[in-house]
Amino acid sequence: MSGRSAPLPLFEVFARRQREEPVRHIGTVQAPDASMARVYAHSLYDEEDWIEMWIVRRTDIVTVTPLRKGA
Amino acid sequence: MAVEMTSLEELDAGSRAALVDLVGRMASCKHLLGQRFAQWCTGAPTLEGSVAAASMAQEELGHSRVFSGVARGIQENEAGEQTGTDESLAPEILRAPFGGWLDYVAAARVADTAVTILLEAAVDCSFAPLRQRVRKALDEEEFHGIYARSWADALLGEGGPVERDLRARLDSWRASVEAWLAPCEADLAALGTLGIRPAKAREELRRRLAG
Repeated sequence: MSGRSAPLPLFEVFARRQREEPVRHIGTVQAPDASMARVYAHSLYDEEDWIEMWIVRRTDIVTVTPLRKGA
Repeated sequence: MAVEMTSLEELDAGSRAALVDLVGRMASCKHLLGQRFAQWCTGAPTLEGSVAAASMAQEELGHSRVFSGVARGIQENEAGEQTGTDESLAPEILRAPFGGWLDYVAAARVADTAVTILLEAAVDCSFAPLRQRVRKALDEEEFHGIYARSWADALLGEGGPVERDLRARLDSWRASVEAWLAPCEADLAALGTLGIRPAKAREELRRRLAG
C-alpha cells in the first residue's frame, strides 16, 4: 500500500479437521490487526473443512526453549 | 416468529410481490458485486488482500445464485416465467465497471453493507426458503464487513490525494445506494406479516458508514 513503511504484523494460523486431532500450525498471514488476520486466514486456508481455527500474533508467542545454536 | 411458510401459495399477493422485488434486488446487487470484485481482486495492494478479495467475489456470486433461485422459484410458480438477474434492479453506480481498487473498497464498504442490512431484517422471516439462505450469507458477510472497513480506514488514514479520492467515491456510492434502498425499505415495510423487520435501511447505512 502506498506510503506504508512499517511491515505488517505476522499472525500464525492453527487449525484442526477433527476433534481427535491436535490443533496444529498450518501457516502464517500478515495483516494490520487481528480482525483482518481472521479474514485472511479464513480465505487463504480454506483447503480443508476445518472444525476449528485460531490465529496468534507472533509477538504474543512466548518462547520456552530458544533455538539452540548449531541445532 | 410468524407461522412458518414454505410455499408462495401461502402468501397474499401483496407480500408475494414485495418479496419477489426485495429478493430480486438483493440478487441483482450481489451478482454485480461478485462480477466487479472478480474483475478487481488482483488489484489489492497485498497478496492476502487479493486472495480474500477473490474469496469475496466467489461468495457474492454464490449468494446471488442462491437468492435468484428463491426469486425464480416464486416467479415460476406465479406464471411459469423465468427470472434471470436483472441488472436494472442493482444500484445504478454498480452497473458501471470499477475505475480501480478504490472503487472496490467503496463498493464493499457501502453496497455490501447495504445488502447486509437488508439480510439482517430478514434473518427471522417465516418464509423458510429465504430465512435459511439469509443466515448462511450473513456468516460470510461478517468477514466482508471487516475487510471493507479495514481497507477503507487504512486508505483514509493515508491522507492526501488517496484520502480525498476515496472520500469522494464513498460519497458517490452512498448517494446511489441510498436511492436503491428506498424501494427496498418499502418492500420491508410490506413484509411485516412474514416476520421481516421494517428497517430504516438508509438511516442504518449512514450510521454504519459514520461509525
